[in-house]
Amino acid sequence: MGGLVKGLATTLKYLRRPRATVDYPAKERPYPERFRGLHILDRDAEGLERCVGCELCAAACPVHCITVEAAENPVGAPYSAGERYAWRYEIDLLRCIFCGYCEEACPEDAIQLTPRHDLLSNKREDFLVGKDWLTVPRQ
Amino acid sequence: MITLTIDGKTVSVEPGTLLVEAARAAGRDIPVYCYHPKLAPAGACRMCLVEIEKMPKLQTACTTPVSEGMAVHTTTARVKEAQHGVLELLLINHPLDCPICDKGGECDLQDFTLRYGPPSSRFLDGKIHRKKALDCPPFLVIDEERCILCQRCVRYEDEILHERNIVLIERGSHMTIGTEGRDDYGGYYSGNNTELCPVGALTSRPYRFKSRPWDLKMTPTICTQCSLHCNVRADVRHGDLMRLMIHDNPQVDGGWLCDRGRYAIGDAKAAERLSHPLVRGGEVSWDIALAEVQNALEAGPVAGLGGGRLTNEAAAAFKQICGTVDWRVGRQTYARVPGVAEATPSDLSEADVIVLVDTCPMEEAPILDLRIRHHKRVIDVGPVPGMRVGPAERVVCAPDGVAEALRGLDLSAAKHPVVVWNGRGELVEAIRALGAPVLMVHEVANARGAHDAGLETEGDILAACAEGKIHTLWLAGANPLRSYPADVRAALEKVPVLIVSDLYPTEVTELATIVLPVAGPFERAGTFTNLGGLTQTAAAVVAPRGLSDERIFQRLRPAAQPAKDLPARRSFQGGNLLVRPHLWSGGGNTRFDRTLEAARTALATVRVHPSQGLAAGTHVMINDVHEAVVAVDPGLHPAVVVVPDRTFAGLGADARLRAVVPA
Ligand code: SF4
Ligand code: SF4
Ligand code: SF4
Ligand code: SF4
Ligand code: FES
Repeated sequence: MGGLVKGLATTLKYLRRPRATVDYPAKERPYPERFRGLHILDRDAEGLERCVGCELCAAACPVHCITVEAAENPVGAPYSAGERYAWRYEIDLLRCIFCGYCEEACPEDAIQLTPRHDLLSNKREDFLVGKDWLTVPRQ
Repeated sequence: MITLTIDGKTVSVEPGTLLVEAARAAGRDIPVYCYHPKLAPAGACRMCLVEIEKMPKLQTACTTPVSEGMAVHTTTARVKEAQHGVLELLLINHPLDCPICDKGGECDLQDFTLRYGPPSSRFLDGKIHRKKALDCPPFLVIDEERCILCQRCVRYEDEILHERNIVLIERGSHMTIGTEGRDDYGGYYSGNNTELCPVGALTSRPYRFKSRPWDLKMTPTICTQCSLHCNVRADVRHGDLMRLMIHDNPQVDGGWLCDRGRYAIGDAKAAERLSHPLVRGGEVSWDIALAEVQNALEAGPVAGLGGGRLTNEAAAAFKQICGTVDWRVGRQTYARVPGVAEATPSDLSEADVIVLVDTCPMEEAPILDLRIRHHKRVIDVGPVPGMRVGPAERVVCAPDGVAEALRGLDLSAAKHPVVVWNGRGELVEAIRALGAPVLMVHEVANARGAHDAGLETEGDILAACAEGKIHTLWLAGANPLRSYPADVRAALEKVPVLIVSDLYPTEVTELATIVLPVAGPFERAGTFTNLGGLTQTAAAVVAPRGLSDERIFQRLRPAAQPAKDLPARRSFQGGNLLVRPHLWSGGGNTRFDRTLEAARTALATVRVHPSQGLAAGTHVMINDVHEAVVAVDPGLHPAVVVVPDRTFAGLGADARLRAVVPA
């Protein structure tokens, strides 16, 4: 009987305290700025893709979940600054371990891990993301 | 033998060995840029400096021959300081664009900087900027900023090619490499430069940005674009062939590749490639198509043409299935000269006299020409010059006077003569009389293998078709409408069942009753026999589209009634319009290869003697149908006119030339 009272008292005490969870997805908890979550492919100040398709991220990736194929920038309408761009850039997010090595390897600061972390879908192919998903929109 | 110590390790090497090589034998790698085992030492880059006891200054290991008792050190503080210095200076104006450079991952400047270089640069001023991504058609791309002026390319052009397509231009800090007096490369061997260049200054257009070395699965195999069969390394990514690289075989290629071998690989993915068997124009399954083939094989006299492009195994199977088969569907009649010793490519390097019998090795087996062009004594017999680069004694004769001209040669003083011939025309007797070993250059890649497999008939299969004596004709990788010296469309139309196995829709698949799509080069394994009689294995490095020829033949039973009593072979002697091989005009699949457009521009050219009075650049009509541009060649016999092989389908010896008056 004493135990029951004690337990109920604890419950009542916690009822008055602020909630530990948030009402996700309506509300989101702020993540540390340097949290290694989902990737983006960034653009430079001129709005061009930073990625030049060098494949160093793919080489650094310990689980080989990045596939890059490069090509020559079209004359007059380049995707990136310089001669080369990635026409194909794919990450298999289910395989990714979010180690951040790709970000570290990138000489152009193109691939970046953001605090975004919501990796949700009930279809497997949705986790194989390409350039359209990764590249940040033009400002 | 000379004994010396390198970093305390004792090695014995031949006298005259250079220190770099001795160090390699001792298991010590000395970094080099300008040194290359196939080029003469230059001592241009100073990367290979080493310390030798009793010598006050550091020495270049690439120019110093070994001597008895020498004590060499490659890792002392002085050597390291020198290596730091050289690399720091090389990087002063280097653009460091490794991320966009095709050499990245296999670049000596990256590797040596990591292994021997200073950790950082002390240079704060701006770099000198030069031209980048400079196209040097058809295949090279030059980046002047990346060049470290090792001069490997320049020396290769000079020592190996004798062509000087790439030279040093400007002086001092403005010095760079480039072409002299033209914008394009102008030769057939540009690709080797991309492998010789230790950095990314010379890269290639077809491989540009396609892959990284660590992506590639590398398999040794052979090139089957011509009958020499140079050894290559096939680099595959995501199941597609990305590039071919040198895979040195001293007996065959001597460590070089020609541009056709290296770059004519872009056709495999061509959209027009046949994907399904066709019977009377309709797509059918393989089972139905092969059942139709089997019926056709049993319905009447059967003959096969082609086989010179098949593997030895498939050629033997072709013979077994069709019974009467001939690989000769072009101008070549002989694969060997009976009763005469056969020479090999290595014999050319040792020969003191080489006789070219109306043959142009540079167009017909380009890498073979690299063994010929530096020779002091080449006798070049025929109406058309066969020797393009290097000195030759020309014996000019009329097209039908070659045998006569050969009879006028005396090779008795020569110790090791070699005769080179492409098997065209009736010259067997005259060549045998020369009494020298003969190296045959073939029109199709595996002519020698097909000959050995017995794919030759006494009579003329196409003439038999014209006479209605053949019920089923099988063309295996052959297109007589493009390769035969006369128009044989009527003969092919007369055949009740025409079976064509090929990769592409061509002039003959249009006429065919049954079309079988087959696996292309690099898609099927098997052996090939080269012009020197060497049999080598080709590997299947990518997945086939279609069945391999061999698999098709394996699924059939031999023909009930191989064709017999064929009419005699025709001879195509006479006439002054000569159709001669051109590297980019050859048959096969190159015409479906879009990556070769730039190389093909020179094709519609006719060569004439100055005495014909046509100025270079004049437009002419051939047979009033084909338009071509005139090039003047004083080396020709005055009466002849030369057009490149297969550019103009079905052009016979009776073709005429008419100058077009400019509008
Ligand atoms: S975070 Fe790590 S595992 Fe994920 S893609 Fe980058 S390198 Fe690969
Ligand atoms: S993201 Fe960076 S490392 Fe990856 S290919 Fe692009 S530029 Fe290279
Ligand atoms: S040549 Fe070598 S060091 Fe220079 S940019 Fe290319 S990969 Fe980098
Ligand atoms: S282009 Fe390459 S091979 Fe030629 S000199 Fe420059 S670095 Fe050497
Ligand atoms: S390798 Fe010896 S000087 Fe260049």
